[in-house]
Amino acid sequence: MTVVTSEFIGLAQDTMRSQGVSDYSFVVVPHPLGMIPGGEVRKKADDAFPDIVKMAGGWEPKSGILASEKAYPAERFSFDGTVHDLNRFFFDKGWSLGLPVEPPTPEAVARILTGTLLEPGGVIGQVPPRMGTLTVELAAVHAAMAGCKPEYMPVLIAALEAMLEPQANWRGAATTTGTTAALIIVNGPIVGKIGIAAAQGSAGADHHPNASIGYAINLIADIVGGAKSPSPDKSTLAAPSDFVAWIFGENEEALPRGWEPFHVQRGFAQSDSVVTVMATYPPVENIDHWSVTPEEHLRWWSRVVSPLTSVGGPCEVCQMDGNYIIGVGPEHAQLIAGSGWSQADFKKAFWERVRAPLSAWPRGAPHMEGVVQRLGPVSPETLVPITVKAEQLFTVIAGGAGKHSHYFAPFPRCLPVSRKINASGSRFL
Amino acid sequence: MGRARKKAGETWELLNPEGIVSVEPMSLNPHPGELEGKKILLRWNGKHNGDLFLNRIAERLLDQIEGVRIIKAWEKAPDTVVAISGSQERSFSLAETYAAFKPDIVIGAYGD
Repeated sequence: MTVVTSEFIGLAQDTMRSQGVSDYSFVVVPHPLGMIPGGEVRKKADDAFPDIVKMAGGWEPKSGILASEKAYPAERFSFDGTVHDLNRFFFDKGWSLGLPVEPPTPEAVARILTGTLLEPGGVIGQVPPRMGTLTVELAAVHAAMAGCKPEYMPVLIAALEAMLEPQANWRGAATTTGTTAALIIVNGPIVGKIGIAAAQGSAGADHHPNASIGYAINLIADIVGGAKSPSPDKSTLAAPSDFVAWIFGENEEALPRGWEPFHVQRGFAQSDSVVTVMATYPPVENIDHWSVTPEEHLRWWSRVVSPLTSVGGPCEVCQMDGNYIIGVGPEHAQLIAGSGWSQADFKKAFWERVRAPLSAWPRGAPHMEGVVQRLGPVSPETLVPITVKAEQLFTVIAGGAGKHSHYFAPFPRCLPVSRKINASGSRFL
Repeated sequence: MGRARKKAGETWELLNPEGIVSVEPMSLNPHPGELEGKKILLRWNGKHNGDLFLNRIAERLLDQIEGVRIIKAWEKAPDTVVAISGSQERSFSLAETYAAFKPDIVIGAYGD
């Protein structure tokens, strides 16, 4: 049985249903438990104790059969009204994010499906937390709603496949109280072929492939995956990245000589087209207009980023095992490489400089032993790095002119996942 | 898309974007009935104060339930203190760790 606070009972029930459990024993206590005095915690435990004893002893599950239907073809239905009426109907049904959608007519969906050789009934995966079954046809429904062109389908499908890998931890990122979003980085010839923006302002508005693919992904996450606010998506504030996912191409033309593009760092050939996905917190921006040496620039990084940016250290020690993506602006990259620094030099210097003393975390943090396992004997003065090794950091040349770089920290236990693209999408490589 | 420019009040044929949920039903064991003499495993996921809450529950159980035995998983198996398992495989692994203690029931405390 599980004790859960009142703010999280909806998420807990949804999670159980998504795992095939129709009935479960919960005891609900008033929110919150965290960040309140010990005496209040004790009182909440005392108040809940009779229910806990009753539920722990006497509860029996009610039998319940969860309905099972066919995932393909998607249900068709008729609707009478204007486009405005249709958008209102979709929003009321929970089939939009609140922004307008294109009507997913059979003709529109068939047109999108010409962009992939995959069978429309093929299953891409189960989208958490609802565990909705995502077929190729259903992905095309959402691509049509988002205004995608057919040629965007290989990127969209590869991104979805990557997000559904267990190491991407989509469920955790979709239901956390934190502000998280899918970060999608595209490399290789596909960038130019379909016109994905990879330079000035590439992660923002005015770039059709980026905007519509990013919109389609979030429609799928919200509608097929059911990650709806305020529950089971428990994000405290959330962000506009819930409408359109972060997506941009690496500015490979601005790579300093000798530096590897992101997908090559990930183990692919330079000539491959690759989509990489990672669930991240909002990026931290480095606005360094002044440094004239890499050393000065690294000093700036050491003040704007910390391991605590993503909890880290003894509070969330698994973050030390993750990967972090540094979106290096082209002008910062030239500053660093122009002084003769290699990519490895930059990663090592970043790793050595961006640290926090162990005393910055609370004394009662639950994973102090985990820090010792990774770093050896520690004291309050020990400077804790973001990761165990510098090699866990990746760089991507991000954006265009300007003196701005961006640091993308993962949500806990969310690793980057990459997929190589072929004409069909990545499914049958 | 041409249809969006057509006159008001037309009849649209549309595809449902929601998709279906198809999961294998999972059955749960009934609880033990009475707690007297039973082994109870308490599971904390590392969130702040969850351990204090369960410590108090343990005190009350030991005080009021005859012969009850308590296992605090965060002390006996510290590696299981994770707020997010991150994968179904890891969740199963956690469950196997708890099952190895052969408890009659597991009580977990979550929430922020």
